[in-house]
Amino acid sequence: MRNFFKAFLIIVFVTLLLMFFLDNIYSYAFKNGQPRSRIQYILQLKNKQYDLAFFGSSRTEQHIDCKLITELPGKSCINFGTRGGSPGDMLILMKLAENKKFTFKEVFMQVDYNYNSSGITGQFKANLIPFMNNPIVNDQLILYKEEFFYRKIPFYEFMVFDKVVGVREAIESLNKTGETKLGILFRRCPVDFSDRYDTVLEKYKNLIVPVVPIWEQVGGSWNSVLPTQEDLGLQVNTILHTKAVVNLGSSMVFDFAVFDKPCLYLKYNVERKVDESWNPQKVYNFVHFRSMPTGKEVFWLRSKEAIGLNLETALENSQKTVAEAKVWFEKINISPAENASERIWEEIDKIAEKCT
Amino acid sequence: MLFNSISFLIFLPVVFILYWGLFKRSLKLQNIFLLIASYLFYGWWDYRFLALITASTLVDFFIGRFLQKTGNEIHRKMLLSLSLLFNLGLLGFFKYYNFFIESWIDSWANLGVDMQVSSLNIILPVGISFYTFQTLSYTIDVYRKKIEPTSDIINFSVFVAFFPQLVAGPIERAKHLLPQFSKKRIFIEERAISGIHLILWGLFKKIVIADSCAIYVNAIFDDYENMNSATLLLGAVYFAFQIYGDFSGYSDIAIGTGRLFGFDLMRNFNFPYFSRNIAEFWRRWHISLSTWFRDYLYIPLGGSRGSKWQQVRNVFIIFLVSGFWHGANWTFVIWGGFHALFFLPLLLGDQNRKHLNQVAENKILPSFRELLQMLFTFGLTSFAWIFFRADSLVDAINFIKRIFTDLSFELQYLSIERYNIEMLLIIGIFVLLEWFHRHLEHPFTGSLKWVKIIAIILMLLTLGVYSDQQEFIYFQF
Repeated sequence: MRNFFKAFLIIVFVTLLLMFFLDNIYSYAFKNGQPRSRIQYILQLKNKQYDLAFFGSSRTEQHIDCKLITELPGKSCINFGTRGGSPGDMLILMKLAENKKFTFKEVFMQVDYNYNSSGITGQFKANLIPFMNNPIVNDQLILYKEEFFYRKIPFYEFMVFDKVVGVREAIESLNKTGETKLGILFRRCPVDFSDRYDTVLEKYKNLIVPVVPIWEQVGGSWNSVLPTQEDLGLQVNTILHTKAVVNLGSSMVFDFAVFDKPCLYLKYNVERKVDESWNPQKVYNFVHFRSMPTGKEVFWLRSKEAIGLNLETALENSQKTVAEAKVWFEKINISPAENASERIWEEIDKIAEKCT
Repeated sequence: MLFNSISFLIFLPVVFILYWGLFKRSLKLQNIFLLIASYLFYGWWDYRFLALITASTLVDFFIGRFLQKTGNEIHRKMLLSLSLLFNLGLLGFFKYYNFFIESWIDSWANLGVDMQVSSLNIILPVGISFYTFQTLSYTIDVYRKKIEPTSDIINFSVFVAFFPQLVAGPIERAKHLLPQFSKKRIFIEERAISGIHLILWGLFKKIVIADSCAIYVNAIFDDYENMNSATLLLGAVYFAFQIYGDFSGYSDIAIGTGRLFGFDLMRNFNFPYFSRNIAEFWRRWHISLSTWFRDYLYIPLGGSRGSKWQQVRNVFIIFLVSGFWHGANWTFVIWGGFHALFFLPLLLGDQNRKHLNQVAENKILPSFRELLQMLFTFGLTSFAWIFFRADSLVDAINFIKRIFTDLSFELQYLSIERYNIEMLLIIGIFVLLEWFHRHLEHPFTGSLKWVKIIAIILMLLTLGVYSDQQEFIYFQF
C-alpha cells in the first residue's frame, strides 16, 4: 500500500500547493488590478475627503451622477452604490472607509425596503473574498460561522464564487493594470466608395478595424444612397462600444452626446491636399456648424501632433464638453428628441390627409 | 451524494480506510460494510427510496432462488414474468405514469374530447433505470441458466446497490460483478493507483468540460430564438461534449472508485466521438446499456438473423426503446429514431460490422478520409443530441429550423457575458488529450505523467465550475 499512499499524498500535496499559490496570485490580481468592485475601489482610492458620499443599490449607482455634483464650485462627491447592495453591504463599505480614515461631510444612504437588513448579499460576499486578510473584511466574514471552516482552506472561496472572482475576472483585472490600449473603428462616409483609405487600413490593420456603413443605393446619384434600418443598430452598437468619435465636421457629435461621449473635430489642413478649394475652415462655416453656441461643444484637433493630448483629455474629462454638445443639440432639434419619430409620422399623416 | 461534492470527498476516504483497515480480515464484514455504505450513499438524496431498492433486491433474490428450485417450465416462466412485471412496473409507474396519462389526454384533446384524468406528483427515484435493469439481467440470466443464483442475500444486495455504479451505471451483469463479492479481495497497488487516476480524469471531464459546456448550452438552448446559426451549431456541439464529459466522467469515477475497493467494473465509453460511423459509435457509447439491449432485446427479437425487413424492424425497436429508456418525453424517442435512421444505410449495405478496431491504429494522425468520417459521424450525433437536449419536439424543430434559416455566422455575445466561441479552446485541448491517449483509459502515463496530473489539477482548480455545480445528467434517467 505504500506506493498507493505515496501517489495519493503527492496528488493531495500538489493540489494544496497549487491552491496556496493560486490563492496568492488571485488575491494579488484583485488587490492591484483595475477596480472591478466597490471593495477594490474603496481600498485603492487615494483621495480621502469628500463633501458628499452616497451608499445604496444600483439605483444610487446609476442615478447619482457625481460628475454633475463636482461641477459645483468646491463640491466633491463619491458614489458607493452597488448592484443589489443591501444595508449589510453598505455597513462593510462604511467600515472600510472609516478604517482608511475617509471623511465625508454628508452621507446619503438609500435602502430598498425589500432587502434583508441583517445580512450581506452573495455577490458582495464574493467580492470580499480576495481581501480576507483585511481585518475589517475578516471580522465581517467571521459572522458567517457555518462557512468558517472552509474559508481557512486556501483558494476554496475563489472556487465557490468562481463566477464573480474566478479566473476570467482575475485576468481581466490584471489586463487593465497596464496602459490603456485603444483601437480604432473606422466608419467611412457612407457615400464614399473610393479606395483612398486602403493603404492606411492595410498598413495599420492591427490597430484599425473598418466598419462598413449599411447604406443602400436607391438611385443613381450620391445623395440617393440612404441608410438602412440595420445601420441604425450598427451605429448604436458602435457608439456603445467606443469611447469617443473623431471626425471632420459631422453631426455624429450629437449621436455620441446622447450616450455621454465626446467628439473631436479635425481642424487642420492635411499636408498633401487633393483639392485646394477645400479646407476645414470652409467646412465649419457651413450653417450646420455655425449654429454651435459657444465653440466648446467639441474638442478641436488643430494639428496632428495635438491629437494624442486632446484625446487623452477627452477620455479623462469630457463632461463639460458633452454638456455643451447637448445644449447645441437642444438648439438645433425640436425637443424632446426622443419623440422625433412620432413627429415625423404626424407630419406624414398631415401630408397624407392633405393629399386625400 | 454527488461524486463532485464535499460530502463524497469525506465519505470515500472514510469508507476506504474502514474497508481495508477494520474489515479487511472478513469478507462477510467487508460486504456488509459495503452494503451499509451504499445505502448511506443512496439515502443521502432521499432515504424513503431505500425501500424501493430493497424491495427490488428481495423480489429478484427470491425469484432467483425459486427459479433454481423448480424445473417446471410454466412455473419458471411465471416467475420470470413476475420479475419483469415488478421491475418494469416500478419503472413504468415512477418514470412513465405521468407521460402516458398526459399523452392519453393530449391524444383525446386532439380529437376534441376533454379528458379529466389527473396526473400524480411523482418524484423519479435516482438511478431506478439502472438498478432495475441490473436486477432484471440477473433474473433473466438465471432463467436462461447462464448463471447460478446466489444464496447469499448480502452479496446480492450489495451487487444491486454497490455505490460506485448504483445511480448511473455501468449497468453490470451478475455474471461479471456478483462473483467478485464472493472472492477475497486483494489490494493491488497498480489497480488502486489507476483508480485514483481515473477518478481524477473523470472529475476533469465532469467539472471542467461538462459543467463549463453546460453554462453555454443552457444559455443557448434557453434563448435559441435570439441566437444566430453559428451559435446554434456551437450549442449542439457544446451539448455533445457536455453529455459526453458528464456521463463518461461519471463512469470513470465509478470504475476508479470500484478499483479502490478491489472491484473491476466494465468499461462504459471507448472514445465514441472518434467513431467512423454510427454503428461504431454505438459500440463505444454507453457500452453497458447497448450490450444490455443487444442481449436481452435485440437477440431475442431475432437480431441480425432473418430477412432484411426483420433486421430493420429489430433495429428500429431497439433504438426507439433505448430512446424511451432515457426519459418519458417524445424528444428521447425521436432521438432514438434518428439513430435508427442513421444506422439503417449501414445495415442495408452490410457495413455495420466495419471499423471494429481503433481509428488510425499505430498512427499519430488519422487519414483525411478517416477525419471526414469522424466529423460526419460527430455531426450526425450532434444533430440528434438537439432532440435529446430540447425541452420539447417543437423547440427542437425550431432550433434546427433556425440553424438553416438565420444563416448568420458572426461572433455572438451571450447572456452569460461570454462569446459563443470561448469554450472551443478548452474543448480543443480535451479532444487532443483524448486523441493522443485513445488506446488508454486516461492520459496519466509515460514520462510526462506528473506534468499531466499537475496540469489537470490546475485546470480543475481554475477552470472548474463550482458555483453552478450541476448534477450528473444521467441521474435523471
